[in-house]
Amino acid sequence: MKNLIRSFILIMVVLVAGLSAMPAFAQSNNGNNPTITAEVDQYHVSTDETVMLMITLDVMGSNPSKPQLPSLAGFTVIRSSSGTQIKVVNGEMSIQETYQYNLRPTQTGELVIEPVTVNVNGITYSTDPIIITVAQGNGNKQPVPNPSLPGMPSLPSFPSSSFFDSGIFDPEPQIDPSEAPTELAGQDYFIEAEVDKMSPFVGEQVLYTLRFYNAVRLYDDPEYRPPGFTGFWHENQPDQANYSLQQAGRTYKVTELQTVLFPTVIGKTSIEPAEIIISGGFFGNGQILRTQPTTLDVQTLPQNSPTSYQGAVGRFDIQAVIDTNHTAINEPVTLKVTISGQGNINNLAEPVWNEGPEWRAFDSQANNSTQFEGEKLIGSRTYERILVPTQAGNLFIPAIEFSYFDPETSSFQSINTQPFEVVVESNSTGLSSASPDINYGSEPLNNDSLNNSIRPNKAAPTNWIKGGTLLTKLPGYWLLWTLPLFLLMGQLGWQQYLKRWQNNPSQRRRNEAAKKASRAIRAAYKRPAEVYDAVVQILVTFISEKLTRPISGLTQDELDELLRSEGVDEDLIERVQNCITLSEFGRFAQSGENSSPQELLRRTEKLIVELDKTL
Amino acid sequence: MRNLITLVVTGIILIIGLLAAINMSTHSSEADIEAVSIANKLYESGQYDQAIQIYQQIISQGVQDSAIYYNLGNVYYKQGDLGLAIVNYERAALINPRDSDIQANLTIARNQAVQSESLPAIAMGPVNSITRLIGSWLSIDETAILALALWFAFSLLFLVWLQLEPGKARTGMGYAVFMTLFLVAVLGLSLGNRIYNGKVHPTAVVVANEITINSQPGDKYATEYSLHNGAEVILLGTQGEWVHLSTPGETLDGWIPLSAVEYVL
Repeated sequence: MKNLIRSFILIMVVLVAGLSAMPAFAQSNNGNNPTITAEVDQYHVSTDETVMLMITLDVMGSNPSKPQLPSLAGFTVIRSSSGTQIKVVNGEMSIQETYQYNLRPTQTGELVIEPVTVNVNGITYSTDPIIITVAQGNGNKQPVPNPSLPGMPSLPSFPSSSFFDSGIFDPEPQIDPSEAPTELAGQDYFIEAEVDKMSPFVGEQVLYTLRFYNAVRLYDDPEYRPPGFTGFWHENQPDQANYSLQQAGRTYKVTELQTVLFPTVIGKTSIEPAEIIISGGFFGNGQILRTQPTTLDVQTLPQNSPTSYQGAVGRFDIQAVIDTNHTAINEPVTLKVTISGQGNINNLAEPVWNEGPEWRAFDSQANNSTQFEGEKLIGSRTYERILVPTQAGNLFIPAIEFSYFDPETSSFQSINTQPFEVVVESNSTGLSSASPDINYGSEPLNNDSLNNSIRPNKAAPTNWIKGGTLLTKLPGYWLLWTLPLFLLMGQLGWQQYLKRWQNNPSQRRRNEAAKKASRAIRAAYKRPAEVYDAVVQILVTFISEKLTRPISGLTQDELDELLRSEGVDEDLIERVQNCITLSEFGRFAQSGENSSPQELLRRTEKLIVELDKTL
Repeated sequence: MRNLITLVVTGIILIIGLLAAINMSTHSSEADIEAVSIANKLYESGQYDQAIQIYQQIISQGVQDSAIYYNLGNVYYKQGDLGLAIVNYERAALINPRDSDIQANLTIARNQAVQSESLPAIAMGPVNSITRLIGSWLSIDETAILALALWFAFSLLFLVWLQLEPGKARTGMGYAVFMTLFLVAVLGLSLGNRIYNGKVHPTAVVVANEITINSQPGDKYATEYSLHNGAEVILLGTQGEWVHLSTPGETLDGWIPLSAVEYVL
């Protein structure tokens, strides 16, 4: 039996382990077998020309670390770029990273491009050194060729600010130097941010402008980290302005980015600093430029807002159209409401719909369209609402009121659409009655897949599941898996109990003594003439079985002592003796001189209960 | 006699437990037939946007019905949006895998989805093969209930086997016990695999028209590979607004914007 129980428990454990141990898809890694090569487009150049150095790294599996470039003594890096290609061959992925550098020699003679190294999985791989012979040029610098890397990624969004000696540089509009910030005093880079309003109303448009000034060549495109604009809803102006500026004897290239902000929090609200990170390339340290934080004092709106006002700030117009003014019961009408203008279009609240109970309405769908017109964000928001008439007759779709706050006049305005009258027939017409919902039921797959005609829609079911959760996500389900284990343990426990019961008759008798005594008392109630005999017998038998020893031969004192030793209190012992004495008298005395038999049985019953608790 | 009573009581308790599990999985309520009829009429008259609006509203109320997802898939298909069509067909198939209409339309939509290149045939392990086979017949809830029922049946048969004296009856019962245990193991493994895949490697469908796969999360890590609308992918993780995915069979692995995919579950 124990072996069987062990087997069952083992099966349970295996099952639980099997359920919880999920197959893992190990990705086999055949290991990196990298190759790194360095090559140039020409080995003999003059100081007017450039050399293109291309470094290629081929690795199997995951992305490798970046190669370590040598010092490139005798050269100046004019331009750098990189690209990545991923190939999958027979299920194995390989990555090819390519780095390209345009180098201009700064001295003549034999210049050495030292080996390029890369570390992959703790092993260092390197290229061979390359020798370039440089002759003196005549001063006419050649243009730098365009990158020719396959799979070149697109440039980051921030514009490149590199200058080239070749004259490819396109001249940009110049602004009046008097418009330059006063802090611009000849440094290489400068960054500033400003807003057009310091005390806007909540929800009013604020224009945030960031300007980056740079006067030197950049090896890489700088990285722009905009502020988080906490407390504002914002939208970036996709176009950026580029112009140049002469200041402190230097020519600055200026890049201007604008963001439209709509404050959502009243009171002092700060715009965190913006950052521009300038890479120093492989040969220098980079620099991080930060703007100063800007604090706006956002004003609350006046208190006299109309009931239909729901937060719109700006200048708006509203229009509504319906697709038909003649329909039938349960035939839908589409109401299209368009709110257009300038302001916080993208987070306008839905208008207050007020159609009557004769219409069944479905949730509206909103579509936005915004664009920048100069420095203002304009656009429209269109709501499409499906209305289904539930009764026939001339029904009305009431006008819709829309209110907004105009910051220019500092007042609330309310505008309305026109109401619509719709004639609703009582009978369905057209497609609605001609084509009832058809459920094709279960048909085998046929040539539909070749004909590309899909099967039609299904009719609504009578009942559906709503708000349910997957059974496997309910803890109660997993608890039910343990039910057989508890039942088995319960059964084993029951069997153990039965075994103990059968193997210990005295214990069984002890446990059943009170029940047996109760049965005897109930039987004695039915035989009043034998009560006095029965009571003694019941008490003696009960006490004998409880103490698992016969007491019929004991004297009264011996019985008292025995009960005392079992922890029975004196009062109870006295009552037991009393009961026995009354029974003895009842057996031998004349009738009418003793307590009634029923009274005696009741006393005995009470005694049995109290003795059962004690013994 | 006592043993028989014990077995009967055990059986009754297990049946009650099974009924409790079935009750846990069903939250049936009366369907909004009118709304579905209106949406179907809009679909038939070519007003797809409005039909989508009503189906989406029904789903947003917590309705999980294969017919609704199927109908919504049809609307997206008619609009030419294969990605969202496939997503909704697959959602319908998860609820009712035996529905031939769902399988037919899903096949049509999949056949029309363009892949950027022909990918090699997917070799699935035995566990995934069994999971797919069972998944084509039983929804996840049905699999869960059947697995539980078989586990209860095994437990009861095992108790009966324990009570029997050695002989032909006991041997026969032993075979029944073994067979039941085997079925429990198969269903349990399939169920566990579906739960695991649903949590760790959920499936999704590309809903953008065409999206380039990047080797890392970021626009400057573009590769020469792309995925088209309707491509079915397995999601491996997310990082910010980027999602790490692989195509079935792990033939392609990369990152695309989260907004370009729609989760099936």
